Amino acid sequence: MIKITNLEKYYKTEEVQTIALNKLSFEVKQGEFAAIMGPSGCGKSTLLNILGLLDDPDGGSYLFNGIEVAGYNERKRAQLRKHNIGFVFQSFNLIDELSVFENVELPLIYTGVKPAERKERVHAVLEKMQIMHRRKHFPQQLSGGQQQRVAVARAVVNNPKLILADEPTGNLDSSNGNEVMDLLTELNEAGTTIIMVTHSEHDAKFSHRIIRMLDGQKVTENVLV
Amino acid sequence: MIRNYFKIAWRSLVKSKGLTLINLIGLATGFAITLLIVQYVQFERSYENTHPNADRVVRLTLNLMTGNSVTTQDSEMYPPVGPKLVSEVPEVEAYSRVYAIGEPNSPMQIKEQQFLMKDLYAVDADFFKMFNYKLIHGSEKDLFKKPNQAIITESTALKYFNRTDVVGEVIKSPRSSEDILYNVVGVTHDSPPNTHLKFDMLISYPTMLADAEMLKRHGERDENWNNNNSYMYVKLVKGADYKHFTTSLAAFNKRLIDEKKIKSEEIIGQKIKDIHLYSKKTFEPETNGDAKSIFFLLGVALLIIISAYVNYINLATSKALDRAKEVGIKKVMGSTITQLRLQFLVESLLINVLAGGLALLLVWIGKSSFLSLSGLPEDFVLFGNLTFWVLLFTFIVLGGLLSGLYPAIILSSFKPSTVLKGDFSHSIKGTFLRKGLVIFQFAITIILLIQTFTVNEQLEYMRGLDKGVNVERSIIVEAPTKNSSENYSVFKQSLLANSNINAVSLSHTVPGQPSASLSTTADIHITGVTPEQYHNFYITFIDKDYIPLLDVEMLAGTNFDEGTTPEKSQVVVNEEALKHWDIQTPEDAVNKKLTFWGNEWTIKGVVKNYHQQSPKSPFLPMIHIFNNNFRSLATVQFNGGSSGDNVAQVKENFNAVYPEAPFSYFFMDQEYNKQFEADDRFKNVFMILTAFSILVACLGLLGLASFSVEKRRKEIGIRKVIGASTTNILILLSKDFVKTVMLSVLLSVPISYLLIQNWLKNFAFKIDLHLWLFILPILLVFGLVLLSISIKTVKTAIANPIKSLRTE
Repeated sequence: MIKITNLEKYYKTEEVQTIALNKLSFEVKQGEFAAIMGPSGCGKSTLLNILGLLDDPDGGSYLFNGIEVAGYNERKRAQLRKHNIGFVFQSFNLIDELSVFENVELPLIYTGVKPAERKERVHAVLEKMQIMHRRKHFPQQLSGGQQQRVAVARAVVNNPKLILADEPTGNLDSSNGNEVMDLLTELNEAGTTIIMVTHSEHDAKFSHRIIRMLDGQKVTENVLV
Repeated sequence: MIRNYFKIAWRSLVKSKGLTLINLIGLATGFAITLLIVQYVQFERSYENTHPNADRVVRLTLNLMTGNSVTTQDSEMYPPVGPKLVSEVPEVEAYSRVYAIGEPNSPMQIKEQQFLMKDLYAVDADFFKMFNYKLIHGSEKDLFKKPNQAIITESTALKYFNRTDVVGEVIKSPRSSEDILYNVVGVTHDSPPNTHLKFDMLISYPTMLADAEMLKRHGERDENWNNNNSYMYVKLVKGADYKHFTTSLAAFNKRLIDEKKIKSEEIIGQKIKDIHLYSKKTFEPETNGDAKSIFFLLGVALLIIISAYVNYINLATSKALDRAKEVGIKKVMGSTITQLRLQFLVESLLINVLAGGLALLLVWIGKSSFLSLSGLPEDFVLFGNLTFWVLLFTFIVLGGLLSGLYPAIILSSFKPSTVLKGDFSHSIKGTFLRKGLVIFQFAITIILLIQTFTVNEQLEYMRGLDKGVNVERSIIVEAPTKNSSENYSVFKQSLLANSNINAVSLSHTVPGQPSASLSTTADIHITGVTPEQYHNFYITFIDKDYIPLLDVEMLAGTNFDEGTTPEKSQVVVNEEALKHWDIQTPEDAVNKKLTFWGNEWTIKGVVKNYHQQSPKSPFLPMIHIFNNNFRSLATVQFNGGSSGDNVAQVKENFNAVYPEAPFSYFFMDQEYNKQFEADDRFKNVFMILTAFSILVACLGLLGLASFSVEKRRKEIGIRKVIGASTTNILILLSKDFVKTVMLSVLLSVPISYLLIQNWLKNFAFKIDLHLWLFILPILLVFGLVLLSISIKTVKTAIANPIKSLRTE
């Protein structure tokens, strides 16, 4: 599903050029659950942004479902992104002014789903995430675990083929963390491809394969399953 | 420490160049426009301040009444009122009649040089006890107690004698009969620009009585209770109670009615300090100002400067997010709240000082256009005026403190523990206040814009209206002083010999000239009918060619013709006059007899109403009396040709017939359009204020947009990540502003409607209020709103969302 070859990304300031990704190559198959690990500053988040079509690489190739997307402009990337990719962040990134229902509904609005269908689909996903009873609450009224469940619900409501998770348990205690990991595993088992950046060896064990990075390069790759 | 504050303040201003520029432009334009307008208002309010006795000087004016209601307010008075009032009312110690001679010009001659004197008045001796005109040359002893005395102003002396010490010189007023000679007994300084009564030359009032021809022509007899043609000023005794004086005046009126001196009329007093801004009577010596417009302008100027301060506050607090971290770190390092507040205050003071400098530059650049636009005298002292500097200083210091205080308090109160963690919920406070201020700003802007559109539309409407009279292609020549009538037929024939000249006619006045150029008489009635109400009728003298030359339509009867002579006492009246005599159709009026001026007149014809004056005034009830003497004006109508050639042509013919007389002319269309000058000026001032108001309001909105965008940066990032397009984000961000401006629209439309209705009341002929007069300004404002917020929103909407989420 995803194939990157010799992917490069630089950050330039006036005087120095930092290499964030250095000719990075790997492949993630449809239905796979991959974990990316490495110390701070190794390029994990940069990689995730490029994979999530939020950023464009400076060099190399990125095939998404067999299509070269490395040269896509912002409009095309956004179009591809909203139909295919869901995001889960460490800090949940829910919109404080919107209720649980409205937060989850948002991606459907942007993909032009009709109101009646939106309601149905949001309710279905909230049931699945077991937070239906909280649908009228606002993010600040929820626990961290509940907020992340809402974030996951929002990520999957559009039935994306790929979920990108950036340290999804980073702000959660272990029991809430495990709940979120279980959710991701369930989604993966139902067919969604997942790529997760994490610092946690414990979380990484939920994946099929761990890609370890250092200084923008792949160091090792352990297949767990 | 202080130096450090300034250093940091300067660096902070330089760092955010865009924001500093917005602040500077907003504040400087606010300062500049307010400084100029305050100066203008101060000037308008300073009328008669140069006369130390002004508080005790009252002008008496005449109200024409129908029952208890006033139909006309005339600023001129019957000549015997002054002397009678002094002898009967103890509060009055002196009077002076002021009779305008010439209207507009009087021919004069010094040795062989002939010229036309403007602003010439006959005044009584006590004039100088009321108005402060000290003599530069000449003696005040027995001044103006005798006939044929004259005083001229310094400029007049310099213009005609090239020196000021001209006491003893003689100025001659040439006439067909015996010339009249004035002895210059004094030279005084020029009339200040801020007085309602300005003159170039004064003659002693006794001349009006002593000279037989003047007495006949002007009728200023001591017992003339029929013609009110002089201004009447009285001086009250020291310490007189004005209220008591008005009571005495009421009793005086009653006595006059009992003595049958006046009927359906009332004499009222008016403090001369109130004339310029509050008097709107007929036959004023000059066009007066208008208190309402003055205070309206002042109000708008103050709103603009308040808006500019509000914008500064908005922009400074919107920057709070950027500076919260700086505050947090400084606090952790041990800075006290007072030190932090001082830092922000110094910044605000610094920017206000810079804005003050820029404002000075703007005032300097805009000074001359402002002076001509506002009608202030060209030598108006602006920078030498103490209030100017006091005001500027106040703006800078007070503004600096007031506008700096709020951001200083908000910013310095951030808790380091929370801001360093990135929690800014604190700064959202005051959003409501900020929005309220923006609603207010835009309401003002929309009101101004709707007004501008309406003013413009009304002026265009008046210009385009069928005048009922043709003022195009006509040159008006002023009558020479000698042998004018004797040689007129030669002059006329020589003109008509030119195939390019269509017609030549004579008249006392022409359309577009001030109403003062017409004679007025209230008591004109159908012979044998006693009128129930008195109205002013406007009288002009014309020859048989005048009506056809001006294309005025005859409705019934006939125009004056070859057989008409002054002795036949025939008149041509207009439709409007018929209304006052209850005559239903023009046909009914023909051959009816009128009584006035102790004579009986026959209505020979009725003409359709025409706009003798701009359509601002209603149609005047007009009486045209036949006169074929070249005393005032000759109108020469051309078929075409360039105006320069036409003038040259007329001048050649004129000089050939009247070799010694000065050739003085004007174009009828230009004279007519002069009537729109005051309204045009009002429109221009309005347009400028509107433009500045829009500028300042848009800057404010930009400030609010930056605040809102900063606040929502993360939210926008999230929305983009989960699929929002740039358009979605733009709509999201603009929605709030559009709502805010919608509220302004709701607030401003009814207010505008009332203001416009009120303003249009000044016009006898006015536009219908179309919906587009409201819709177009509103659309324009919406366009500007979207444009100004787009500066911030577009940048944010197209920004890569990971930048706003990277803080995680």
